[in-house]
Amino acid sequence: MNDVKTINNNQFVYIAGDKACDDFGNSVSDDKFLFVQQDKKLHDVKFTTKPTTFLKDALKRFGKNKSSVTGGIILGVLFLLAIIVPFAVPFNITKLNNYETNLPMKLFPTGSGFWDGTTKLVNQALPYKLNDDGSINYEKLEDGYTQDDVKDVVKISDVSKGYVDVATTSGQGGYATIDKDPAGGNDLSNAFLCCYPFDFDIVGSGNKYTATFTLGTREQTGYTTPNWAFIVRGKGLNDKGDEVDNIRYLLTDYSDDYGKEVEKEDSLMTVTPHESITLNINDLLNEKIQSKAIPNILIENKFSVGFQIKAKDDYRTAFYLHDFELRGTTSSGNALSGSAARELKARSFGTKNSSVRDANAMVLEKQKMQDGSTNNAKYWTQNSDLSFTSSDTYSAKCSMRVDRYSQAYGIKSITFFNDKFDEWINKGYIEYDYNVGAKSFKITDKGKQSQEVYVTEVEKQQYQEKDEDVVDASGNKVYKTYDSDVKDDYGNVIHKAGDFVLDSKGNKVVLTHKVPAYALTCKTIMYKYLGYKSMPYHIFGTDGQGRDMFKYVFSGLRTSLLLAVAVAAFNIIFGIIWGSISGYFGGTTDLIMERITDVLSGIPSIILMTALTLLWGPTTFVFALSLCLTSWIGTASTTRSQFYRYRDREYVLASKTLGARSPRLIFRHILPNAMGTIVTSSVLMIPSVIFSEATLSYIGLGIKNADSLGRIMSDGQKVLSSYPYQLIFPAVIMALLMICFNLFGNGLRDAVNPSLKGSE
Amino acid sequence: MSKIPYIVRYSFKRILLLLFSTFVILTIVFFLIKVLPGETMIGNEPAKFSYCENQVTLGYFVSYPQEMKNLGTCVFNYTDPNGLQYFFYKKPIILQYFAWLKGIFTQWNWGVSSALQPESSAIRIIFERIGVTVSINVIAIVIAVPLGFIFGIIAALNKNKPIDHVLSTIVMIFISVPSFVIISLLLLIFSYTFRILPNTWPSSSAAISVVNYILPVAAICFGTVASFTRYTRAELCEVMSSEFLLLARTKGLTKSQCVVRHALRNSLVPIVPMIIGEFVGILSGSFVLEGIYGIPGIGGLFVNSINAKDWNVLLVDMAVTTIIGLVANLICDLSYGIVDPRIRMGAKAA
Repeated sequence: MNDVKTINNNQFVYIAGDKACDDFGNSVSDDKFLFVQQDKKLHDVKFTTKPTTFLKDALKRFGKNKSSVTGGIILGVLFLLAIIVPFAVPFNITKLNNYETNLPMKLFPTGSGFWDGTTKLVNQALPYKLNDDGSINYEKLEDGYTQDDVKDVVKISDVSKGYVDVATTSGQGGYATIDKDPAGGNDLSNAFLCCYPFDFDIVGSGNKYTATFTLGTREQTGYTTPNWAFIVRGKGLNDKGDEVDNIRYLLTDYSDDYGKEVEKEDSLMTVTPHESITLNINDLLNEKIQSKAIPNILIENKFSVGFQIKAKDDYRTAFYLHDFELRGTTSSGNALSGSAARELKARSFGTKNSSVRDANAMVLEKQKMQDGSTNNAKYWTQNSDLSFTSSDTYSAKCSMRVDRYSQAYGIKSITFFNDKFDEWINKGYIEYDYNVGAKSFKITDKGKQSQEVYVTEVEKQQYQEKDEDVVDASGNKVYKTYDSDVKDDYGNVIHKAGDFVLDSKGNKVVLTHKVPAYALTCKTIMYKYLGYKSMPYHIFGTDGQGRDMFKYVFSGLRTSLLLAVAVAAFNIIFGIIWGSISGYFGGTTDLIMERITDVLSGIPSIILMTALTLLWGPTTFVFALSLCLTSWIGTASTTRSQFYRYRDREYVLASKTLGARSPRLIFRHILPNAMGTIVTSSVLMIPSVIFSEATLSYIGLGIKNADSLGRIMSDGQKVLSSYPYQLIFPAVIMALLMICFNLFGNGLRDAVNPSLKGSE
Repeated sequence: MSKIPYIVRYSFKRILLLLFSTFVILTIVFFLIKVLPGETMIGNEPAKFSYCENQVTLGYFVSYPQEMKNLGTCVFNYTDPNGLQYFFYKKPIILQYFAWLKGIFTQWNWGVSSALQPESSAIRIIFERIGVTVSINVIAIVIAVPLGFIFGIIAALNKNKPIDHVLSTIVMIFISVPSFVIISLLLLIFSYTFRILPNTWPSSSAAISVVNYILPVAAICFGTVASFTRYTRAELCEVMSSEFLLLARTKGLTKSQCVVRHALRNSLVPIVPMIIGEFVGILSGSFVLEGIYGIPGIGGLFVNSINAKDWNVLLVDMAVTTIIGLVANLICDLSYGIVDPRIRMGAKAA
């Protein structure tokens, strides 16, 4: 029974020698049996399925991995965009476009509320006038805003007295008077005022700060110029020696010297500014700390630096701070890093005590109405006499939506020279008479049809000289040369007489001469003036230099990809050669070659890159070279181990015994088998090259002559707080690229080498 | 067989090799940076003079009372108030190298900073800053390892279920996105939009509080947690599908008993060394983070010293980073043997 296997319902297979019996154990006669395939001819049947190659098989496996396919498709789209966008988008990203800086992103028409090129300004002090019915009079908007620009005043928020606390390193204006003793008496010799325009802490990392400021004298009868001193305020020690906040220390002695007077300022405040005074805060502080005048604890904390004004014996004293600026450098003289620069905070001038008013038109004060309610804030200005009057301009803080595109590309008043006018007159587009001036401007019908005239109205015409390039007899530009030798500090000649003068970018400077011309101030349609046919859309906005971010990001991506692909190609070629020699020959050759790679991989790549960059300049080529120097080691070691794997296989041995030489063994037998693994590891190298380029560029050590993704992000990082989209777009593209490359590469690896599946 | 245990012999060999590698790397770096354009001298004439005098004491420069035409270009010349002339010339690089070695081996003198904090000892600058770098990284590791481990276990135990797919997708994203993108976005969200976290490291040590650690630690953690999750998941999945675990189940152990007693322990073998490897990775990668967040650590110092061409500080920084890397590598290799005594790293094949 055990040996009987059912094939069909009524057919049995018997093992020789057994007795035939049915399911119930009864014997079965021989004639009930028939031989299977007795008269058939048996031969191999041709495969009905198609033979598959390793590559096709791998491709099929890859196709089953949906996430990898998606990654591959997105990657393809990014590649295509990187190739197409830099050519297809018309904006110029190589030159500085002053009028189009920091425009927000715009994809939909203005007013759609999302991605439409408008910026929401929150709590901005915007001076405007109100109509009689209390609505906003758009025609009286100041600060260059027009009705077109301001789409929607969201809300006029509560206004309160205070100083606009802007993170900036410089400020303007600031006016203080001492009219009465804060204690109430008439003796003003003890009265003083303090203001702290600078708020920062100095310990940092050896950063150096200088404060530059200009003081002014008020020509006002009954007022004298006070004494002033430079002070610090911060954590200090009181009389008992306890640590207390807000202790004041003098950094300089009191002085009534304001420096030499400079030209008189023609403003509401009859103030004469003096020459600017620059103080080195670090030196002053160090001096005071060494002489124990200031305890060390002060500079270990945040502190403010400012002025203290002391009245002279006279009754009234007026002090005017014209402008101030705080500059910081690192100890080596470089610009401060972004985070350190953000620490600096210059505040407008004024304190709560005494009769001090802020004259920088930013102080907002509630105006009490007769019924006790509060109205919109008054816009305080300083009159020529002492009084402060609120002008009829309201300056409330409000939130609103501003169309930055109409601000940049709408009608603007600008001044330019008359060459364009001459061209239009010759073409018959406009009628204009320089002798008559603004009133004679008229656009002809031909001009209206041509759509080329960008001026709508002439406001002012001025006779002015203009620089024009000097041209030689054959029409070529003449370049500036040095008249005599220029020497450096050591007395070495840097520039010989007759050498071309070069600008900071190394380009020759064109020689110019003055020619007579007219400067015309006109109302201009900006987008036409800038050479656009219609109002431009910047999908990703523009950066601080007016570059279209969409084009900029994708040309950065192109640079990064080109770099990565070039480096990966080099790595594959060189790595395979190196690895196959090392792996195929083995023995001493392998040992020596391995030691060389050991030493090379021991040198930190960042040092190597920095060294090459400092030697030959931060160009793309040098950067690619420095990446190539060490990154082929990975491919080489993969190739080597693959060669070790296949070198001693039987089929290789068989080929060898048949007389195959090394090249045939390498190129026909070993390499094709190893290729899948090697190529996959090289594909995975592309994102790592992009990553290291981005990282180095991000910290300022990368490519400087081309725009890579890392550099764009590094620029975006600097303005992260004000224009976040300038970082978000390149960052998202970068992240997408990395994710897709990893998905794609992992899928490829799993497909080529299924045994590695799942291992990360 | 000698009586010294294998592990001791092996460690001893490795430590010698480590010192040798450090020496070779630093030598190469020394020559590399010495052929670069020179250090920048800053400050006024007396400051430059004292810098040059210092270089003479260190053995990098020589000074002569008159101009020596045959020695190449004069680096700096100075006339002191008494009218004495000093002309400074660079020594050949190989002599500078020996002087540098002599300074280190005889007096433990690694030179002084020339630009970042002029005249203060390079080694002191490093040790002032190493604390904050290490503390941030250690905190990040302490937070990231358990989290990554937990997520990895969750993903592995729910293999091919929705929760695994969600976790794997998140892991994929955070592994791919560079850490400087993450910190920038975190800064944007928490510092600039909601204004609940500080946007920079306080520059005085007194003002440092827990809040300051949140963003940099979080920025490191995202990537680290993701890679731990992925690694733990892969390891655990592999162990879970192994035959000894099947045997354990057939013998009647519950799934949780299997996981806790057998799978987890075995999957730990490659993970423990990975923790150390990860630590070195983020330590050396922290220079971007330190730059962005203004953390006064050795990563930021590295970048600053390159930018300021302060080679002495750079060399010490390099030495410290290299040694940390090599030591971690050593501990990593040794820990294999401790976690799984069957593994003898570096032993000859039987």
